[in-house]
Amino acid sequence: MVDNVMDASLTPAVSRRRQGGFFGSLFFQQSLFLAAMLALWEVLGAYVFDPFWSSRPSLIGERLWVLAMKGDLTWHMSATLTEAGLGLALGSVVGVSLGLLLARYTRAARITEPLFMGLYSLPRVALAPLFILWFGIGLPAKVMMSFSMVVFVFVLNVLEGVRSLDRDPIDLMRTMGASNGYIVRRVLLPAVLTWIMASFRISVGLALIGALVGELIGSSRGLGWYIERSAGQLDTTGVFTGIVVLIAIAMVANNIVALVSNRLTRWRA
Amino acid sequence: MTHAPVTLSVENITVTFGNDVPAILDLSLQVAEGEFVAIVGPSGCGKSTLLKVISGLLPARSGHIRLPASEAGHKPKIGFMFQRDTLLPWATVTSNIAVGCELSGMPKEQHAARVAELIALVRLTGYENHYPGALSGGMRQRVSLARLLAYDPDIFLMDEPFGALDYQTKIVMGRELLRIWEASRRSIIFVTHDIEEAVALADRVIVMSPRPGRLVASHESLFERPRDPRSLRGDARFGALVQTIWSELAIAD
Repeated sequence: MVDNVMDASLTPAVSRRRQGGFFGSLFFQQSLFLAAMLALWEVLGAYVFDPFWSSRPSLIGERLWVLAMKGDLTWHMSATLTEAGLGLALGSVVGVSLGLLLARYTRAARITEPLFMGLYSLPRVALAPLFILWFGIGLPAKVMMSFSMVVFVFVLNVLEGVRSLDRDPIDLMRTMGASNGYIVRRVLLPAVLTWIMASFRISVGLALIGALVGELIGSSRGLGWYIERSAGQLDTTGVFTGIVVLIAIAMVANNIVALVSNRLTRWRA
Repeated sequence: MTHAPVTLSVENITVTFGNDVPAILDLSLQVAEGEFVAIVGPSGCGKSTLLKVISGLLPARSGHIRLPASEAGHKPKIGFMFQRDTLLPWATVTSNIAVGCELSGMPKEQHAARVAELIALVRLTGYENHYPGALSGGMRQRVSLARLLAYDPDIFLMDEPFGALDYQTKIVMGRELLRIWEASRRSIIFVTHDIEEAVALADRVIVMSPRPGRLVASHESLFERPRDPRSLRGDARFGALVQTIWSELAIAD
């Protein structure tokens, strides 16, 4: 063992990689790029443009600190996260169930598919005024907005997942006397799971859009409301602060979904 | 596990698709208990269709399939193996083989031991937790074979099981199949387009002709068991039988 380690450290390729280590890593280069962009923004905001139009990273950082200290940050963030989270949860449960039902009853699927495709193609923003009218400016309207953004993604993906099932393993299990329940558990659900995970990847961002649109149109709380109010007061720093928080939320949520998805579909690696 | 004598009897089967020439016309065939029957024929002669009819995946237009009830009056178990491996891509080698145990009605607590035994039998030790995507074609067919054995069928229906493998792997898999079969001696119907493979493995080689699918000849094997398919290929009688079947296929064409 000791000999192996010695040998490896003497090989040029390995030692070069070891030197490259942290500075050669993708993470370092990504951070460097981000820092450079922020620095450029800071300089341009301070010396070239009026910060009234573009704000500056230092001002945004300061605002973030103040909002965090006052508790406003968690107040608004929790509202937006609750709306998007509930919408996503509801949309995935309803969408997967509906998708499986339509896959089971193919005639019903063919009858209803044009309507679903139409609703899927409809810019859901158009529904926002309706939801405000029906559900008021509280939580339910935003949850419905999020829900309407994601539900069809799940329906159509699950339907496609069932349609693209490999028939051969199912035929084989049938000759071995497998019950419907067994085939559902062993073949259908694992196959559809990869499509459900893909739907989640798409839907995280869409659920956030739904919540935001709902907040922009009518609300008293949330990151969308904060952005809208800051814009109304010509407070560019406030607008950018809201956007930065949203970017951070979206990135974290995407990474969580990617992590879970990779764990559940490890066989694809 | 003991098996009641099982003979498969195919009686005057005719299969048609649409209004075309029958895919199979009035075909009859008996398979004795523990017999290894190979069916050869050019593509389109209905040999795969015949297996699907026997397994119940396709209906016959007329005729009967007789499968005597095995022990305790159960329906005899039919094990099918396709040219494609048909493994579950999201299940490990162990879990794929366990499908056979689960469908065989074996008590759950015996599954793990049986799967471990079969993994050793098909020489896949060390690959228990691999997914099919990480295995070679030959290894995937070994997993398929182990799944089939786990199901413990009374009759094996094998549809060009090694047809997609390269020549060497095919020879090795044939030898493995004989080794395993000689230990358990179930009835096998083995469909192939490779005449040498059929002669090397089977007790009896049946020749089919296409359009419509008919039985044109049947040859009892001249070779003793146990046998090594590789050394057979040097035998003069082996070459003669292969030649005979070749000429029958040419006439049938």
